Amino acid sequence: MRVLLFLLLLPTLIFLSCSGESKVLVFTTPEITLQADGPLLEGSNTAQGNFKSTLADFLKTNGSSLDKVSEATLSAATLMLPDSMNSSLLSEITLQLAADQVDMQKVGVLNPVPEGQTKLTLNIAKEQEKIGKILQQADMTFVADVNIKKDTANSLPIKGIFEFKITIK
Amino acid sequence: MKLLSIIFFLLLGTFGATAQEAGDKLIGLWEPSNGKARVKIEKIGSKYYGKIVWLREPLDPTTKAAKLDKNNPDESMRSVPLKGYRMLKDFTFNGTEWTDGTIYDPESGSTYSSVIKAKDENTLDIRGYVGVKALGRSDVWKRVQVKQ
Repeated sequence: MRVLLFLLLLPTLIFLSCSGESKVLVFTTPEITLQADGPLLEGSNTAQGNFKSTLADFLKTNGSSLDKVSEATLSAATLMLPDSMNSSLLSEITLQLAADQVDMQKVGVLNPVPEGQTKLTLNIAKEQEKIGKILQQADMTFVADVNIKKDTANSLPIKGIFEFKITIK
Repeated sequence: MKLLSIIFFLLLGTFGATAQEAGDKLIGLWEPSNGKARVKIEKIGSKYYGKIVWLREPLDPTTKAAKLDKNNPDESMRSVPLKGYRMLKDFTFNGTEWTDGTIYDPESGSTYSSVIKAKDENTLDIRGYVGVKALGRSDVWKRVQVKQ
């Protein structure tokens, strides 16, 4: 009888557990500078920029908190090159997110880099993991592996704006 | 007592700096035993990462273009070039070896847990494994001397 009762109630329990409303917020970072210090050699160079996450404040102003984040993904990444340098020097860019307590995650790529542009939009990875955990760290690092076509004595400061979709349970 | 505290904190600072210096010995250019690639290891935050900066055969024999990460399980990431690929990730130094990292095998698209030991200043023992360290496979990497 107890088993029968349980089986009858099971669909209701599943329905109730799945019907909790969730909402998606869009969190956009301020402009972050990813710097590769020159001189830079032909091939792969690392540009990195630290970001002290403001997600907690963002969630607070939206009536939520970090413990209510059920999922997060990078949804857009725009990189701006310095005016003195256009994209002709670059062949590919791969974007990753890193933080001390979480393993590095690859989140975007642009291959090939279109020539003659200073504003670049990356293709975003369809499969993303642990982005919420990275965003919940106080400090995180945006890492761009930039393949350059020829040696340059200059540093490469790339400005980036990144948009995340945050699902709140 | 105040003097004792100062000495203690000075010693603590010295030990921390020494441990960091020892960990940073991993930084540099390395070549696996098969000589097919060269990997540059660098530090990001407090962890160590290595990326392929040179390939003996940089072009795909089929497409004649630069080799891509065509075996990546995530289809959207298969246009990432192998030259520049970050194949060593998230290693932390525990005082004697670099642990908790992963190594990616571009030939199979598989990622393995990994631990790195320095045999000497110019030789690394890199072990990749799934689950149990004892059941893994090791490779010896040699430091590439960069001409100034």
